Amino acid sequence: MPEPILSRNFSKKNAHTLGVYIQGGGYEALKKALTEMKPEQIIQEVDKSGLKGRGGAGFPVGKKWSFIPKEAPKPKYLVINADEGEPGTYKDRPIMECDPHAVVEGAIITCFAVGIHWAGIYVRGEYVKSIERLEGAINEAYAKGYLGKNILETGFDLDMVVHRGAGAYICGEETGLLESFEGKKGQPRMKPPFPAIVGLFQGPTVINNVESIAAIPHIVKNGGEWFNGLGAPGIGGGVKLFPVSGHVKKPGVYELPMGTPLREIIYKHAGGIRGDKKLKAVIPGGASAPVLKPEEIDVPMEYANLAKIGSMMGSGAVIVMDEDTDLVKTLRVLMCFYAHESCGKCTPCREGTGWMAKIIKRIEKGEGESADLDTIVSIANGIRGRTLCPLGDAAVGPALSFVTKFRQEFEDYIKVGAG
Amino acid sequence: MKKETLRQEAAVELGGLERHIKNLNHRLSRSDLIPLLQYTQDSYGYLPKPALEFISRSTRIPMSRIFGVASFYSQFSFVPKGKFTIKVCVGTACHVRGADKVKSRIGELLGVKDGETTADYRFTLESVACLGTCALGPIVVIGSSKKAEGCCGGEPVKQALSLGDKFYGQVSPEKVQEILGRYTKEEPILSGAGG
Repeated sequence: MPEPILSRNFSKKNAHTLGVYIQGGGYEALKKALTEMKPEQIIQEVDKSGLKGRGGAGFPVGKKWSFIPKEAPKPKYLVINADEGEPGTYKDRPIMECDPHAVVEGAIITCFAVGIHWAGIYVRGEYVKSIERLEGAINEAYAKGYLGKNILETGFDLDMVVHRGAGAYICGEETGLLESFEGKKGQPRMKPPFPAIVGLFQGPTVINNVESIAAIPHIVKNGGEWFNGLGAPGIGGGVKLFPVSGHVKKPGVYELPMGTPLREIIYKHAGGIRGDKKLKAVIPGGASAPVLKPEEIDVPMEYANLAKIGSMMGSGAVIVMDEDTDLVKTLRVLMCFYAHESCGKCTPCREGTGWMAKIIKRIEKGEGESADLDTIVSIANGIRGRTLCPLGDAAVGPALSFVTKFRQEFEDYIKVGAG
Repeated sequence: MKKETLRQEAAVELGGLERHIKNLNHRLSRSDLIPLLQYTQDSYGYLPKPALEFISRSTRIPMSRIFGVASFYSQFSFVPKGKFTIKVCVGTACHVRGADKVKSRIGELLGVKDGETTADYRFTLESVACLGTCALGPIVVIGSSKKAEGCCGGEPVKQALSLGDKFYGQVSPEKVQEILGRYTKEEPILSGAGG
């Protein structure tokens, strides 16, 4: 196993404190970035690293930064998305709890590269310990002169704050998050204008995921090409944290090269299926990703490869289901989740998710009708692509894939009722 | 979407909230609203109408908007909650490992449904989707709030964050009674129910 990068501090004692972080080479990248590099050089290195947004959309980070206008009449902002709410996803939490200074250091370098003087991190309200650790790290960084006025005597100023979320899945969507930051209901905005042009408080805004930001110090320190080379051969893009849950022997967060085959993650790293049962289905990228069948798991875990087989990388959260899993009940849980979390702004999503949940509940109770499955497909197609934000599509992913790939199981439920 | 209304009630003690706003030491703007609501929720265990009216006067944000925001987010409640809030994760990862059975066992023992509070204001049962510790599923989190005992008024607690959330991982229906027992030291409110 190569040296871990993003997870190197996960099991180190007191790694969340400034002293231990500096001992491990922390804030060297900050010094290098601020004193030896020009902002454009930093953006170039991040570009070369092949780092793609780790929140789920997978947009190249360097490219996102380059969209921010150099001269803007309004202040520019960095918003770090730590509203980790996608079921099955728990990779940002250990970063914030065990390595909060990596987030702070990454944020300072990002702001320096893009010319930003205010950074806010939006953390899920449920993540109490993450909030405490981040606030602690920010206070330490202020005391040491890494935040505040005239950082490292370079004349660069930056303020950073933690914002505690109030409990809404939709706030993980970037424009919903901005609305929430401004004290409103977290309902997504119409795009364009994209946040890079009109974002927080109408200013140009960079929005990055925690894991993306935590990778920045390593990229600056060791170079973009180095990071890119850490990915699987021919795929690149660095390393990524894969949270694995469900029916595996060793659930946990695994740091692996981008492009590691899903089979290897499940059987080698997570130890295989609990009780040596047979695999039935895998959700490869958080609850919103279309489900995969056992014969599809040789796919490399990487954005383009997963998209090719009709699923998605998302947050990289792998949820494994063994042969005893009741997929009808699982889909009911998923559909009730999306129906509950739909913010209500776009009609197709607000109504569609509710109807899908109702139909699947009916099937579960053994009261389904033979036309129900086609109705779900038709509702799903009515939602897809017709909403402002990806929540609608996120509900469609599991609905369509469960019903089409495991149709027999659903039909059995309709014919003979629950197991 | 939640269907809720504000409770009509007599005056509550607002001194703590007033001091908190004074200590913020800046002109309040719209982006202060959610942190203020969080402070109120933490202090009283719910959002009392007089406190919201006070926030409305201080921030000059109309009550209708405050109600809109407060009812949007799941963290806020318009009714008092129990002393202990039991959150059962029913996210996908916990579901496939049997969260449903855990939740119904808790409901059976306490005699409450999802979202309800026991008559003695000791427990509130809630289901949540994904608490970000999926490796340990099914997860139950029991959080205690010093203030939230079905009462209002009095001084807000010092800590801004909810007190002492305790995580229980790999919970099975069989383990539920023992876990709940730790929170019922005075009177045996669990006896007789279920078994």
